[in-house]
Amino acid sequence: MKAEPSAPQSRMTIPVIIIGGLIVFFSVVAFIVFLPYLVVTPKPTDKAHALQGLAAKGRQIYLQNGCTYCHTQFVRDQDWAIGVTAEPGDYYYEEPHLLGSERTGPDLSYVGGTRTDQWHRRHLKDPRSTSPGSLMAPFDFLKDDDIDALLAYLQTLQGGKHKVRSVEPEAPHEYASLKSTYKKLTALEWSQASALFMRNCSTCHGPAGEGHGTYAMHVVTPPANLTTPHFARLPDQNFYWRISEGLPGTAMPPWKMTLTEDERWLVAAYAKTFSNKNGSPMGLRRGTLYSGLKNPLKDNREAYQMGEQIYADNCAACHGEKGDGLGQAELDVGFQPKPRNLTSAGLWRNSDSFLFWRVSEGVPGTRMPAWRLMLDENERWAVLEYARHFSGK
Amino acid sequence: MKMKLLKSHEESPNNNQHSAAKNFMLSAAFWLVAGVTMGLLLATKFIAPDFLGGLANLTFGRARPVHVNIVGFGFLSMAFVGAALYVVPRLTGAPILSERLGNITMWLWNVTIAAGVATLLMGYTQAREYAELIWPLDVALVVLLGLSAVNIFGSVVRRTEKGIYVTLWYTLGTFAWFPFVYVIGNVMWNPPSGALSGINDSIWNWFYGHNVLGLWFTTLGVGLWYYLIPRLTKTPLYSHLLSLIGFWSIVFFYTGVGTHHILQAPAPEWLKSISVIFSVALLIPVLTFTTNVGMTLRGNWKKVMQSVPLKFAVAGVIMYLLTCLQGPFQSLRVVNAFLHFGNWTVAHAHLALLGSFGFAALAGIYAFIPEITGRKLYSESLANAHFWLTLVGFVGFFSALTAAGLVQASAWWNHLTVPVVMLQMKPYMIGRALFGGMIVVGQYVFGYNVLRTVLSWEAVRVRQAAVVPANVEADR
Repeated sequence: MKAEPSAPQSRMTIPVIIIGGLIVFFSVVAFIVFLPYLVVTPKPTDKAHALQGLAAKGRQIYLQNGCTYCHTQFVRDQDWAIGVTAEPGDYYYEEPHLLGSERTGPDLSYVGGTRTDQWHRRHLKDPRSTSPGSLMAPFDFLKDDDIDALLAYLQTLQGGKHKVRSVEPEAPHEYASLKSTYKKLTALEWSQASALFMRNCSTCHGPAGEGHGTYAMHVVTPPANLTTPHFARLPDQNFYWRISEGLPGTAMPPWKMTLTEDERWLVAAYAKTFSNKNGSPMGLRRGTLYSGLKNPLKDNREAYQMGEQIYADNCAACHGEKGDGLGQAELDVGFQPKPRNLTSAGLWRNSDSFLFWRVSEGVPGTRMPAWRLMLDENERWAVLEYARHFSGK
Repeated sequence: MKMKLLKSHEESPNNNQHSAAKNFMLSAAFWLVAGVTMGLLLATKFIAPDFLGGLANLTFGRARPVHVNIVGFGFLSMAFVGAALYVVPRLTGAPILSERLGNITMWLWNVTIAAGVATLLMGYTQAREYAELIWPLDVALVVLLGLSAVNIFGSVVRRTEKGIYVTLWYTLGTFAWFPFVYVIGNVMWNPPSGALSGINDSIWNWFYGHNVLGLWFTTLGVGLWYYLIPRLTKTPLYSHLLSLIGFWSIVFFYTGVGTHHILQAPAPEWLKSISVIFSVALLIPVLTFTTNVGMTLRGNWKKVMQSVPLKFAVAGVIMYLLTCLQGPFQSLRVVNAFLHFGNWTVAHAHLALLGSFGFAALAGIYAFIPEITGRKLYSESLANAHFWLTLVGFVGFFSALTAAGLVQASAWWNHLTVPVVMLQMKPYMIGRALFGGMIVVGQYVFGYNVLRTVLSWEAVRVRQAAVVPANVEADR
């Protein structure tokens, strides 16, 4: 029984099989093995670190005893309570990789720093003494030196730094190593910074940084109350980091998309002032911008009328139409602290410059915004001229 | 359709005829017994982690790669190389280049695997899954692959049969590309680590890890099935067009699927997408092959139940189909995100390596050892006991691990942590060990049976069924 010469299988000659097979094989290999090698060249991330000395030896022990068959070292998006999802650069120094393929035991990407060396030592030698139900093999056959090395390695598995973590995580090293260009804000910088804050941040964090902005009621995670004391202890870089990268899981966006570096440092410096007990805005009281000012519109009838209109549009909602601090917004919401009662005579014993400063820059810790951003100088003086009449004078 | 009898060397076997093939297959039988024993040790450690816990050499993390390397490079590889050394001459009409070379290769192969076992137990490892063997042993294995290839190509070059049957396509192709898979996958130009650095290493590792299966076990196993099933059922292969589609699509698609092992790792997304698409496309070679075999089996099911090798071969094909339906399913991103890291995958891996290709290898050994030695199988009933112990044991083993995998996956998906879920695994692990024990007993029975067959003094000659598959004839 002769097959037709055109039968498909008759074309399968030895060269077709071998050379053809290799051509197909290598074309795919070029794409899925060689190409990635050429294009996947991530930079090392904060988590990547070249191991040396004891830790490097510890990694060898980890390899030799096949820890990688039960413990993975990569966090996936859906992994809960392990840590940040793995990035390509995390593995920059890994040779061979230790990703692992099975989770008989927990993922070890972030095991470093979570337990003491003592605990690990007991756990390695007799796993069930510390973790009942554990399936881990006992490693009591390892010499003490080897266990020390293994521990040194395990404790590096968290990003290289081996410190007790605080409530507020440390800034990643790209940010931790930066220095703020602003130590104490000058008046000019202050006005720029507060403008930025009012425009970009106040909708959530509130004009006074207490986290009561107008959006605060809509967002699922409450905006940070920047006046709480622990913010005062954070280095500037942490503010800069959070402002730049945003805060995952909250409405805080990465502002590096919209603000320049300089602007972010300004806002960082400004945001830090909210938690400053001494209230750095006070630095402005003696500042050049607001000192020794007199109301140029004093007893100006036109200004009084203009001020009346401005007051009705902008101030009455909180301070009330009669200046008694019982505006409709206040009655609806119940602000804490309460809006100022403008009828009190004591208030008006303050100098013009102090009152103008308060109106212009707002009052930290309250809802009083910096009107400088919305009203020009004339209008601010005019509204002061109008409001003065609440005191009965 | 006339059957051609190969005369000359086939009809008058001397003692040396096919001895390399025979010795390869006997070595495979030995490594199978050793490999499942290691497997049972590991299964026991999942229930009693302190069992032999004080022995550094047998700690879980060292015993596991030993198990994998023994069954992969000892049992399956030696069985398939042995089968190829026997099948190729029968399809070409010319003997392999040299029985002597074949036997030297066989001994060196055994020494390499034994050295691999020893070094892994001592903690010398490259620690990349499926690529653990240290550099000198990698070199040895590549040389041995080369020697086997030389032997096989030697037969092909001097062939007297014009037609090239599909089994030969697979054998020739495999011996052409697998050395490259091995060298590239093991990063052999970079000793001693045998690894790249960074995330690329995982990409290369899994290119290799999957292609030990896809471009070595699968292509040799499929080739063996293509030979065994038509021959044992005495039925011509249903379609050569299907086998042609199967062959080229298997080379193309299998080569590209490795990254589906690290779908949630930070590998490039485009690469993951390619691997998923190629994984799904593997349905093409799988369905063409199983259709082809299934159609060939039409009207032959009685024969299947009467022949031990055919039973193993057909059960293997069915499990191959199941594995390869699971595979594309698991590679889908959402499914993978759910199932990854759990025992489902362990079950799947065993379905491929034991259920599919293990059964194919056993079919080959059962079919060829009596032919080569000219002796009847020592005991048909022991062989049947072996079949049923292995099959039933495996179904139980597979079910236990699959269930365990689903429990793990759904618990993790609901944010339970690994240590908490681990406590729920015990019943499944006990089930796995018990059914695994059945498999192990089955392999001991097999080992005994093969040993008695080979050592048998009775030497009842079986009539050599010196017949090439009818289709080789039809091709000419």
